[in-house]
Amino acid sequence: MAISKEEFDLFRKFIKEKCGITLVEGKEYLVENRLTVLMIQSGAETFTELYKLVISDNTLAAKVIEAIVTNETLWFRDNSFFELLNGKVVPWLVDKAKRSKVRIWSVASSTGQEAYSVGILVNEACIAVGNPALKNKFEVIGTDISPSAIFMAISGRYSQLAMSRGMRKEYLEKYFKKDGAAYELDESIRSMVQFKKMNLLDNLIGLGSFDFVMCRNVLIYFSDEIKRDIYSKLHKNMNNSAVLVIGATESSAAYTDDFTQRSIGGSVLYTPKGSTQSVGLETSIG
Amino acid sequence: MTTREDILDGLNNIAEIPTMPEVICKVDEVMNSSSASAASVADIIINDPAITLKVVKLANSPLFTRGRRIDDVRQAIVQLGFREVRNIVLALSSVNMMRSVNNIDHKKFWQHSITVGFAMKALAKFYKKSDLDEEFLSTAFTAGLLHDIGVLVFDQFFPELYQDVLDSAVEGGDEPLDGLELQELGITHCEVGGIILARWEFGIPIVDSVLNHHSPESASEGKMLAELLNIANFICNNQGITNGTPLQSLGFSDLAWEELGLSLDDSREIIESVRVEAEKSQVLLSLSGS
Repeated sequence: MAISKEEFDLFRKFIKEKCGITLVEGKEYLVENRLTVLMIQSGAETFTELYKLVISDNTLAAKVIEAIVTNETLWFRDNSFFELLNGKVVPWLVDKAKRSKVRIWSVASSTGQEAYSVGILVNEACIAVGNPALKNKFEVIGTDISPSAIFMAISGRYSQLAMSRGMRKEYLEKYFKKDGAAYELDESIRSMVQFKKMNLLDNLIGLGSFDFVMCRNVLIYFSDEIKRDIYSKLHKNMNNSAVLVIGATESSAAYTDDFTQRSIGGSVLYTPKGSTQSVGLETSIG
Repeated sequence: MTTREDILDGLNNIAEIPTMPEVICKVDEVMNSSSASAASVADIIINDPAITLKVVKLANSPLFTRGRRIDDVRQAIVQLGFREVRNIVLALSSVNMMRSVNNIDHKKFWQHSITVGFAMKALAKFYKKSDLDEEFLSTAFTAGLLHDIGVLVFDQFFPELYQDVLDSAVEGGDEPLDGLELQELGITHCEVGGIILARWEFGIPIVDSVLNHHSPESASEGKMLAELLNIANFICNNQGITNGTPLQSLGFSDLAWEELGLSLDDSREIIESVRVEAEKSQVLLSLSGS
């Protein structure tokens, strides 16, 4: 059953109130797809009826939130981003690792593809510079609010469908073992990454300082006020010489002036104001 | 009449839906009485020579015990405990139910079901509140063993309708099985399982947990069991121990995980425990002749 504009608005307002996440116009299909089964299960015949049940039933409300807020996650999903990582950021981090420990944070890591993707690139870069053991100087942390997503990430096992979403053949062959219908990631990469349960609305100081933070397409779901709060927290969790990357369609400009925006090869990176680091960032537009 | 009504009507009229194995009814009856002893439980089991032989063989398997050699059922009960022997007898008896399957891999189905049963008990070690008694753990095993019985009923008694569900599952990508059943048939294997287990006169917590194992938030009297089932079932699927249908749940209930007080720091150890339980179920299944 198709969701009407009015029904979409009802759920949009509900999600905004409950978790501060804004569903933009055009996400009707997402709400419709993810709530159809809940609608049938609850005995509702329309999305309006489902909404009426949701506002008086906390359990059903939790299910609706869980269904809508779940993200899809991909491997090396944005080629220009991973080219930037591979060509600039990872070599810089590997160079840094020769002198000190390097900490990387995948914010809202979901089922782990981004964190593990970076782990693979770091491992490859360490081998390329003739020092495979350098990878032991890296600590990659993935945080997410969902225990289920974190458990799946820790298991390091992915379906054929999950693998088809952006995993390169060369890395699949090198780092994954087929086990029945699943692909299991090699321990050499799994051991580089730790996953922790974390709500971005909570205090994040305990996570410590990072050299590289990926917060891509996470904040788009949050209200402006929460965006401001989270950018401020990210800044506090970054070393002075650290780098932040956000989604290709995102900009932090309206929410924080803690960062300098730097453009490189069509991608945008952010560094803390007054940062002295250099990733070979040719152009500063901040 | 809708497909759902057809299926409900069919369930009421199908004479061949098996009853609970007699040996289990008797064992449960004795175990629930105050005079339960190794001898009284053994007396019931030895009336079934095939089961007796399998129980003794299993009791000597290194995965189940590292004790001295066991020669009879009574020693097996002393070595493994009443409840473990009862669980083994239930599993061995259940595997022989509804054997004429159509679209489902019978062996995979029971490998999954027995492993979920054992995993329910294994997970208990990781609770924050691990004050669960032996009786609860035995109930947990039963719920785990029989949680997908609705799948087997669909497959045996409504094979053509269920083939349509499985076909749409293959085409549909990562849609959960119960969602597809609901869309295609108007009824899920969870509900059918609940109906069958109620007919077999299992207690309300077991029926409630099986009914809600994909939506533990909706469970009431069997809530803790349903939460455990939801997580044990997911971990088995995640480890490739699936029930023979092409699609599985995509994750477990976050609320269930939080309410049980499980810790993500234990994830790797939990996975390892479930793998050991899978080996146990493999041994058990090999003895059943499947």
